[in-house]
Amino acid sequence: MSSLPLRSTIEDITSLLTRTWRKRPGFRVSLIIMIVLFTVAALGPYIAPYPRQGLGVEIDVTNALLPPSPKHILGTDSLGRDVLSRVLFALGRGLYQSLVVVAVSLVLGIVVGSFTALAPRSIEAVVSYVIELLLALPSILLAALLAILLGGTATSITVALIVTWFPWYARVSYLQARGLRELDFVRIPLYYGLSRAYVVVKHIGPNILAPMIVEALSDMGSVVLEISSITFLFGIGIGSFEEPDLGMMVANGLRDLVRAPWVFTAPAAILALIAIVFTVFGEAVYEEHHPILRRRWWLWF
Amino acid sequence: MVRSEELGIGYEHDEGVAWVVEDLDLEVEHGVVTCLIGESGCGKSTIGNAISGLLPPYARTYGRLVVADRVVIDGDKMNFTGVRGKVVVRIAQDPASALNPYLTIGEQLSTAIRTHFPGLSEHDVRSKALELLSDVMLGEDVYDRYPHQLSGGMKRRAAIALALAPEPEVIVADEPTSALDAYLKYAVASLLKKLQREWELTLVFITHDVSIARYICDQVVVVYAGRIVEEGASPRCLESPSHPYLELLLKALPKRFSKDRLADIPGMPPRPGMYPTGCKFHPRCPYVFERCRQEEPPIIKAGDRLVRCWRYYEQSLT
Ligand SMILES: Nc1ncnc2c1ncn2[C@@H]1O[C@H](COP(=O)(O)OP(=O)(O)OP(=O)(O)O)[C@@H](O)[C@H]1O
Ligand code: SF4
Ligand SMILES: [Mg+2]
Repeated sequence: MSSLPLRSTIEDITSLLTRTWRKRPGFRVSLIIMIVLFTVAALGPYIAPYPRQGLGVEIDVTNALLPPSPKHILGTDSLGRDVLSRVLFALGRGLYQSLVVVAVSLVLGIVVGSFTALAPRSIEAVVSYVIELLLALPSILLAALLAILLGGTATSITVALIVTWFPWYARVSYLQARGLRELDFVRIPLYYGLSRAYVVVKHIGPNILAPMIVEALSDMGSVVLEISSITFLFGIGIGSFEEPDLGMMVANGLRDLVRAPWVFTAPAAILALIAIVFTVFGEAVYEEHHPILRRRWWLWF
Repeated sequence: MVRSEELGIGYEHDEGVAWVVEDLDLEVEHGVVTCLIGESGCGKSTIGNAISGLLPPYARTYGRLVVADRVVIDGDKMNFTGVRGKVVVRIAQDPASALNPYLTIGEQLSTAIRTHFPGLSEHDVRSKALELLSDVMLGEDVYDRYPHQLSGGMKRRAAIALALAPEPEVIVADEPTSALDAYLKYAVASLLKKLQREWELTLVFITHDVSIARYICDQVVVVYAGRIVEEGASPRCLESPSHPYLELLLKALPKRFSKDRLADIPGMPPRPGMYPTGCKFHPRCPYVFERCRQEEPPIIKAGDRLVRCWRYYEQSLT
């Protein structure tokens, strides 16, 4: 029984995706590249030629900064590690991390937003004020600060990003739930004495899930970029220098840019590809879902 | 069954309270169909929401409202526990409001039944839900359908079934026939009438459609600018209006076999907070005289009905 609302949400999303697929060539290209990226990311640890170097546990300074060759297709970095293996490991971690950030933020945002809309007025005011406050803070700095405070591991970056990311979803859910709470199918069960949790799960959640998933889909690219920006700028993302991370690899590659441009180019190109592909994908889905907001990217210029 | 004494209802806004309904004295007997008639914005839904306990938290009240022998509004205090959604239910003006688009009709009916009749077996819940569906003349196949798979008329029926699930005594139907075609209007109205008779319900039927009101009501209450301007215990006053507003309202109806241009009521209904002094209808009234502009007329008994108009004042004294 309870699987029914979820089923229609899935139907909504798949029909949106197939519609977008039919109408938008950019979406088709980006979706195919995304599938390839995810496949490569999943297989990365198994197809990497030098998995121990990819992970960073093995270094070989005698082979430092070798140019691309059949042995090291993308060359080696300043510690003599195979760049291809590094990129393959980093890709998987980056995508996985951003998936976790988006998924957890989404669930947390929906829960916080829906309950806030049903909470007593005073609690509603306080929570929405806190959410506004979190939104007003510059998220990269806040995430960097939190990441440092939490110890500078990959997990701490994930947690920090969730803290800065979920308020967006909380706010959007809250606004949607506020519209829904005026409707009888939300109000009447509350008057009957059914619990708020029941009303959120049965009546509010299903009604806002589909649009929220669309938001999340179009946000994936920004999360990947934000993670990389933090690790690039602050280099604190990872406990030890050894762990593979695209942002850190770009930052470190920059030092040897003149002598060994391949160390910088490979991760930078992958990051750019992710950013472009995810953005095209996200914009296509978003525009198809809100036709009125066509050409939102014009606002960027 | 429903009795209000000098009931006032308003909505808070930044600069104070806009009183939408004022000094409402309404009496609805058990088992009677009462129609609230009036133009858009005159406060019909506000009255309906007050009776069914669905006013928003920023609504303000004065006076008293008694529903099923329970004082639910007393001054600025509201207490609808045990009454709202159980003794009195409302069928919302907006049919999209009643049904959750992501649950089947059957699931929504079963939840309501389970909540009001805890301890029923799943089998009994289901058969009760199917019974409700057949009461509103929907087939059993509707049980497994989602709201978007139903036509507008079927959605109304499903919403009525859902409202009936707690076995209420009073139903407030807020424009249950709006946005339906002429045939469906009468179908839904006669369904409500049939249910009202069979279940011995008290029905408050809100509409701006005089022809539907004639068809269904026992008692007529005409509302203008949040006040009762005419009240009669039979639909007869819809044939021979007393209050100038009702007279104009009836003239604005299309008549069969008539080639005359439709009359309309000049001017606009006043907005809450900007009601004129004196008789609230005087800027639009063709019979207006001096006293109307100064003083608000009281409710006056005139023959078989109550009228709020100075024109009936003299004759009521004799
Ligand atoms: N929730 C609300 N908050 C503030 N003002 C409201 C609210 N609901 C209604 N009003 C105001 O009260 C007045 C009466 O509204 P109401 O909905 O009772 O009218 P109505 O007679 O039902 O009209 P209609 O036929 O269009 O449904 C309107 O002027 C409206 O602006
Ligand atoms: S009191 Fe005067 S203005 Fe009001 S309806 Fe009667 S005649 Fe018209
Ligand atoms: Mg209304």
